[in-house]
Formats: sequence, structure tokens, C-alpha cells
Amino acid sequence: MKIDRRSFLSFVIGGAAGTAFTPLPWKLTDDSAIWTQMWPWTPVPDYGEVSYVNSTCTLCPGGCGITVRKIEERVVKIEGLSGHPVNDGGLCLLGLSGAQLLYGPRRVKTPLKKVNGKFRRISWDEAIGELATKLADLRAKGGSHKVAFIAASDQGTLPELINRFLTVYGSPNFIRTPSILDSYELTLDLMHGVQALPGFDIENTDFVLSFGSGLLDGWGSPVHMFRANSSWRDRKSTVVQIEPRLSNTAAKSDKWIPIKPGTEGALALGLAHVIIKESLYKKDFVHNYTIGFEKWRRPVVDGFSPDIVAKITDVDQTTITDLARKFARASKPLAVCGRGRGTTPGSLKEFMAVHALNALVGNLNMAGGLWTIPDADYIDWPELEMDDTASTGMQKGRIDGAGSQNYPHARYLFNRLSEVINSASSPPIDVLGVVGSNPVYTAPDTLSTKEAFEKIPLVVSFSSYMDETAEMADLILPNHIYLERYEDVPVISGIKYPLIGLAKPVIDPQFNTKHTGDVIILLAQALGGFIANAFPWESYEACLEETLGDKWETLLQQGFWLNVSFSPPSWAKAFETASGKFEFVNDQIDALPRFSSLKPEGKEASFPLVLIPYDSMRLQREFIGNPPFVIKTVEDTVLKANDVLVEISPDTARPLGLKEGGYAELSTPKGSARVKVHIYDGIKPGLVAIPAGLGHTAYSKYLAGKGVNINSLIGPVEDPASGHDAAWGIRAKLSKA
Amino acid sequence: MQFGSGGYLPPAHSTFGGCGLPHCQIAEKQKTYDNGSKKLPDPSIRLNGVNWPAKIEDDGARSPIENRQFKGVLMEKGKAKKNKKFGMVIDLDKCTGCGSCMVACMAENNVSFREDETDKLLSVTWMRVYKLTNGKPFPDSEICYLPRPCMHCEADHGHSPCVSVCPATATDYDMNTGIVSQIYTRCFGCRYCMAACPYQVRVFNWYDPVWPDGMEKMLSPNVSVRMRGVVEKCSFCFHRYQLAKDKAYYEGRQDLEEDEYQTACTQACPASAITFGNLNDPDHAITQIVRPDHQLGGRSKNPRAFRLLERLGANPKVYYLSNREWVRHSGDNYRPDEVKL
Repeated sequence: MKIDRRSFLSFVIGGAAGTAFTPLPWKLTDDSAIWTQMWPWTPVPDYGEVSYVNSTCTLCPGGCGITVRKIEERVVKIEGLSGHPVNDGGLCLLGLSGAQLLYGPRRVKTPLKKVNGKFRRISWDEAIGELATKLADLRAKGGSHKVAFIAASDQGTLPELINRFLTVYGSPNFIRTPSILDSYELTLDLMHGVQALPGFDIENTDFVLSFGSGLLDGWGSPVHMFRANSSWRDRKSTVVQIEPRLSNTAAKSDKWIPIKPGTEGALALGLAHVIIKESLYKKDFVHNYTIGFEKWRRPVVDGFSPDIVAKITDVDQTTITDLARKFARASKPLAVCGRGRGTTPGSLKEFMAVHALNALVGNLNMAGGLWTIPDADYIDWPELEMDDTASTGMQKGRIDGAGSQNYPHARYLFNRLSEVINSASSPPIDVLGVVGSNPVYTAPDTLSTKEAFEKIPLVVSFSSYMDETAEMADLILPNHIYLERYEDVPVISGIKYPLIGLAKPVIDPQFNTKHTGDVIILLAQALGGFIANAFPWESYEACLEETLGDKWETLLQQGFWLNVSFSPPSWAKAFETASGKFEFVNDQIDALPRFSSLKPEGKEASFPLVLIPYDSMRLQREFIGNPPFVIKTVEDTVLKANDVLVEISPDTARPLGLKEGGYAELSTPKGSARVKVHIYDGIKPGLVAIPAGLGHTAYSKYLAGKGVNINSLIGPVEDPASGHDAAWGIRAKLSKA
Repeated sequence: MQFGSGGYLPPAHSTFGGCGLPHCQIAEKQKTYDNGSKKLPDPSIRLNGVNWPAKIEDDGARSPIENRQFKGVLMEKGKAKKNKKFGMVIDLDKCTGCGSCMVACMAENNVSFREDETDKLLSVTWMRVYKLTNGKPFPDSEICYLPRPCMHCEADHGHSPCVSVCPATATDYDMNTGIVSQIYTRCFGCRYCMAACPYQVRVFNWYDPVWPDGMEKMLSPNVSVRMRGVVEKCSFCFHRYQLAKDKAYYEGRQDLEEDEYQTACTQACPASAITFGNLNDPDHAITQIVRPDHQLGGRSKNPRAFRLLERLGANPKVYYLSNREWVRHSGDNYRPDEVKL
């Protein structure tokens, strides 16, 4: 057949028309769209009855109220509880992703025992029996004091149960993980003479002077602080942030004062100098309710004039004078300290210097000031009856040296543990229990911590997750996670009222786990005698209900118990020191303001830069690792693939030949790591900032192996005044890789 | 309730394109095409009718073409104000960049996650928090965080940039609520909308969504899980609106209170930096803060407020507040001679 122009056109037009009219191509396109989307493996969530259960979040000490949305017996979403005194509906990103912890792939699903380096499943009876036998043997051999427990808090029923168990068993070694609470408690003890927690009346303050506290980076009760910040904006309060890096807190503050790190205490005394010199302090308070002011005043006036302080701190003189005047003249000023999230106790003298500023402006126990909150007192159990073994064990000194001649004031010295264990010829701890904490990850100097843990014959982890410490443990007795258990939460993170939250089971335990409180009671019963007698409760829940007494019903229904009528004692009654007054100087620790900066570890010649960790809400650096949702929010200038980015200023980068996103070798006296570089204008030249909370080796693939753990690059620095860890950084070197 | 082009399924199924199962696919098609008996009379005739406004709340299912005509009619009659126009205002001076809004959104909307989420071009996020800097050297540098949901642009007569280009009518501007929808089962992944969106709020599912074993228990049935090959974006938590409307209906109420419909990010924000509500309701907090000028496409009369790429004319319904001039200026592209910072 001959193809001419006419037949060709007929064919093309006819074909086009035919194609247009037949449904086939459209049908095929549609079908292919459907076919390429209807993947059978795309999950289809089930419907069901919706219910809400109110509880308390225990993922950090913040104590937020939560309401959990369930579809039948599934936890679908966790939201903030409206009307709760801490968070009133808001919630942080970790609290919001709690369901991922509940259903996370790295839950410990059953008790595990390490046999030849591998975990083997065992039953609860076997696990508790084995631990009880070991403890009984140790006790019979007179080694009861060689048992220690590490916990994140010493308040609430569970820590008290553990403490009670240790006491009646015969060991003084209950160890709380470190935080700024250590330094604040000590400051209040030495200057006020009271055993109390600091409460901050942040809702009413109109001038916040923060010495490096990450008020918006996780310090205190995070959501409470965010709410406070919004109220400061509404009320036009002033926030001054003193810290070497432009953190989120600094970015939100009214004035950011980039200080030379480690010299914050000197700046506080410099401000005091101006306040005293210009007679701006509150005379009524200072003259009538304090003692030692004259003695304290002299070295401050002589040694901390603005020109001297300017040289120490890199903050210019006019800024110092100006700041001191504004602070003292504000109607409700408040000075706070404790760097970042407050995971390191810090230098006691720095805390006392900052606290002296609060005293000078007379804000103690006043509206907008710092309040002393008494420890929770609802735990009132019968007196312990102890046998001789227990008494003998309790009289042995603590392993960490707290309370001994060298460290008379410290209550717990977690930071000394590795050193004590590593330097001993035979292990000073035979059995170590770890509850609600992950010291192998969170303790500074990871290498030596691991070495110490390897030396302990029996490490028992009570973790719900396969974290770094659980991986090193010999026995794991998994606790229910917070959504599956009862727990009272005395809120300790700076809330100005005595407040107790109650976490309660919102869902049945998903796995073969057991409440640690029940495990302690079962252990005691297995050991028998005086130990069993000390635990008359049949279960943790029964113990909790009995302990909380008349508060139990309120807690069950409302989720929290708040002493609204609480007001801190007036100045005349507030101080329980020997003099009955606020003490500026304390001869016991030679607290005269002779500032000497705690030097970071390392020699300047080989490590010309200084490495500082920084905190962010989007990176959890404590017990709980980032769930997938949280790690997803981390910016690509912090983490890129598996590489962490360290921040340096352009001026620091240039001579080193470092470029944005380029690889570098970061080394410190404690270790080295391959990192990427992020050039950041918001950091003081000469510093390297690294995000804390990365570098997990445990947990799931969503977190493990990403970035570097700051604790593998930094070691503890002992504060000569208290014995606590006061490291704020370490000398470092950065070279192009 | 009319959304996209149909509202006859039970709430969970009508949420953003149904559950993704074949029966929903059929339902989708039925809604779109097989609604002969429910067709509105020709709108051009209606135009001259006196009773027209009474029909605005009509929730008849319409084909996409009819839907556009319907919108046009509303506009011409100037009755759009009677409808709701949901919008959001975010106080950047209060926002701390904590990331709660992002996670609240992920948890609420079944957003998937992968092992490595550091390539932000591939990362599925409806709400993303950007970090702005003023570009000045130490110690004058400043940073500010800017959370960015979908802007739900009204543009001109509801011709949002993405809606205008979608060949599948998978995305639509709803004149009743001012929300830009996304129907996953209709989307065939051409990604025109992603190219058209000036705010880069749309993300493409390059990968299968995979939840680690057991974690699919946390998925909410209110929002369908998206499959590989489709585009998704922020919906202003539209399913919450549907649930609230259902509740009101059961309780015999016509309208919703302001706090009955709030997005997950608004609810979660610990700093209370986000305010959400109906821009057409003078009693709502957002209207009082923003003071929108409806003659000028909703431009704010509040000197603290700005919108992203205001001059583009997309008329987004997400507003930002800041006292800082450099922050306000970072919302648009200015020539150096226009702005002195």
C-alpha cells in the first residue's frame, strides 16, 4: 500500500482521535497510579474507641503533666495536660515522642543474663533468685558495703526504697547521678543552713541574669521555662545571658554577653563590686539578716574592680558597670547559674558568688526571687531495725568518698567512682545496681568509665532499654517504662511550690518487665530476716498508696498534688545557720571570694583551642536517648549523615584552613574524633563547640553510631571546694583531615 | 462539611483521601464522578438568584470543575467572608526553636522517619523549623527560629500556586475553611506542586514508610499513612476539624468554639508562640492579633506581623510576628536599596 499525504494524515488524525476517545490510556494511567501506590506493606492503622489517660512524664526531672490518647489498647499520641501547674498543655519534643520509647525496637523485653559475653533470656524467678543469692553470700562474707546503687534521683518512693534496702542490707553506697542540684543544695546548705532545693519564682521576676544556664535549652523544667520566657516577653522583662556561645537562650535574651568560659564566677564578683561600691544593695536585708558581709566585702572591693574583671572575663568595663546597675535597680531581679542543661554540678565558689548577688539584691524567698523549697516529706516509713552486719556495713565509708574528711560537704560523688574503682587493687564494688540512669554514656571520660564497669564483678541494670550501661551489664532486670508503671515524682527542678506528680500505667506492660520497686521488695523478701521486715508491703503499688496516704486520691484523679498555700519562710526565720542569718562567708570551705578559674584539662601548647559542649532541646544527653522523631529534628548543621559538626568562628577556621562542611580531626587529652566543621558567627573565637547527646553506641539504628559522644573527649575536673565535677570544657586541637 | 470534593465518608475515611485501601479508592472516584443526582444547578443561573447565600453551607459533592465554578461564584458574590478562613500566627520572639511543633506534627499525622534524616531535601516533615541568622559577625550575630507549616495560600480566588498546577486534582483550596487539601490516593507523584510551591512545604515520598517492628502500633487511624510515590504536606490537622465538627453535630451545635479546633503544633508549643483560628471571625485571637486586611489579600495591619514572600501575592494564611526588623525583612527578598539593616 502506498502511503500518500492524505492517508498519512488520516492515519495520524484518526489515531489521535481514537486515542482520545478510547478510555484505555486514561484507565491505564489511573490503574498504574493505583497499582504503584497500593503497596500492601503500607500500614493501615486500626480504628477503635478513643480514650485519654492522664499521667506524669518522667523522662526528665521536669515533671510535666501528660494526657495519653489511646485507640483501644494502643498508645497513639502523648500530649501536654492542660491546667497542669508545670506545663499547662505544652510539651517538649521528647515527651511528645514517648510512644516511640514504648514501642521502640530497643526495649528489653525480658530479664537477661550475660553468659560468655552473650545475653540469654531467663525467668524473673531465676533472675531475682540469682541476685538474692549473690547478695546473701556477699553479706555473709562481711562485704555488704561493697554493694552500690546508682539512681538519677534521691527523692520519691522508688529511690527511698532502694536507699532503705541498702541501709538495712548494710551499705551506705546510694549514689545519685550528678547535676547542678549538687551545687545548689550545697550552696543553700552553707549560706542558708538549710537542706532544701532551690525554687525560682520565674513567673514574677523582671530581670533574669543567667550565668550560662540554658534556660531555653533544657535547664530546670524545660516546658516551664519556655512558658516563663513567653511571660517575660509579654511583661517586657529583661533577660541577660552570659555565655561564650550564641545558644538558643542567648538568642532569645535581651542581651548576650559572650564571656571567656570558666570566668563566670569572676564576673559575678565584679557585679557585686559595682553594687557595693555604688551602694545599690538592699541595706535592710544585708544589715539585719546577714553575717560576714564586711569580711566578704573587702576582697570583693579590692580584687574585683571592673577593670580587673574585664581582663579576666573579656567583658568590657562599661558592660559590667551597666549590667550591675540594671540588675540592682530592677524591682525583682534574679541571678541563676549552672551551665547548659545543668548536667554538670560546676564550681561551688561560682554558685556561691552568683548566690551572693541574689542576697545583695535581697530577693531570697521574695516574689520574683530564689526560694528555698523543703525536701518532700511525705515518705514516713517505720524506723528501720538493723542487725549488726548492717550497722557495721553502714559505718564503712562511702566508696565515692562523699562525707569523708576530704569531701565533708558532698552527699554523692558519682564523678569519683571510675577513678576509685580503677585505682583499687581489688574491686571496691562487688555488685552495682543502675536504676534510671545510663552512666556508661553520661559519665565524663567514657574510656575509664567502661574500664571501671568491666572491673565490677556484677553489674545489674534495671533499664527498660538496651542502653550503653545495659549492654555492659551482667544481669538486666527490665523496669516497666513510665507509661506502664506507677511512680511518684516529687518535682525538683526549680518549681517554686512543693509539687508531686504521679505517673500511672496508661497501658498494660508490653513485655515481660517488672517494676523495679517490686523487684526491690522481692529481693528483700528473698534475703529474709531484718531485711524482709523492713519491707512490709506486698507490692510497690501498695507501698505507694500507703506512703502517699491522703494525697493518693488527689494524685490519682488530678495527676498532681500541689501545695498552693506554700510560701517560703520570712527572712527572720529562713536561715538556720549557727548565727541564724544568711552567711556570706563560710570558714569551713574558705569561701572568701578569691577567684581562681578552674583550668580546663590539657596544655595550651599542644591543644591551642578550648572545646565546650553545648546543649539543645533537640538532643537528649541524659538517661533517655533521642527517639527517631527527635533525632529527625536535628539540623543538618549539627549532624550530617553520621558526622557531627563542630562549631568554630570564621576567625578560628581561617588559619587552620578549615571550610564549612569540611572534615577535621578533633583531639583532646582524652581522645580524638573525626568531625565536620560548621563555621558559626555566634561563637567566641578560640573555642570549639560540640553538641552533647550524640555518639550513642547502643539504642537502635536511628540513633546509634551518629556523631561523637562529648564524654569520650572530656574528663571530670574536681572542684577543690566540693569534690564535684566542675569541668566546663577541655583543651583541644582541630586539624584538617 | 465540604472538603476537596466530598464529605460523605465517615470521618476517618474522609480524612485526606481515605485510608488508602482499594475500597477507599472506589469511594474517592464515586465522590468525584458518580454524583449525578447531587449536582448543583448551573452556578451561572444561581448567580442571579436571590437565595444564593443560603446555599453556601451546602455540602453537595461536586466534580473538580464544578468546585472551581462554585468558588468563583462565592468570590463574585463577596460572600467568602461568611466562610471560615483558618490561619496561623507565630510569634518568633517567643519561639525558642525547641522542635516541639515538629514532633507534635509527626506524632499526630503518622509522619514516617528513616535511619538517616540529615538530608533535609529527602526528609518528610510537614512542619519544619528554619534557623535564620542576621549574617553579622561575632559578637553582633543573632539567630531566630522560624517554624514553617503549609501556608495554605489563598492567592487570588483560591488559586493557590500548587492547586493551579495539579493535573490530578489531588490538591484543592477549600473555600469553606481556607485549607489546601492533599488527597494521597489521587496524587500520582508528578511533583508539579512541589515545583510550584514558593515555600517548599511539599515533600515527596521517595521511600516506603517503614516502622520498626511493633512501632506501627502508634499509628493514628485519623490520618492515612502515605505510601511511596506521593506528595504530602501539612493539612492544618484537618482531621481535627472533622472530629470537632462531628462532635458538635452530635451535640446539636452548628458551629465550633475557638478552642475546639486547634492544630497539634499549636497545642504542643511549650512557649505558646502559635495562635490558630478563623481569620474571618473577629472574636478569634488570631484575627485580633493579625488584623487582616481582606481587601489586600489578608495583609496584616499589625506592624509586628509579616508573611513570607508577601510580594509574591500568594496570600498565605500563616503570619509571623517579630519586634526585630531584620527578622521581618528576612521574610522576603529585598533589593539592597530597599532595606537598610
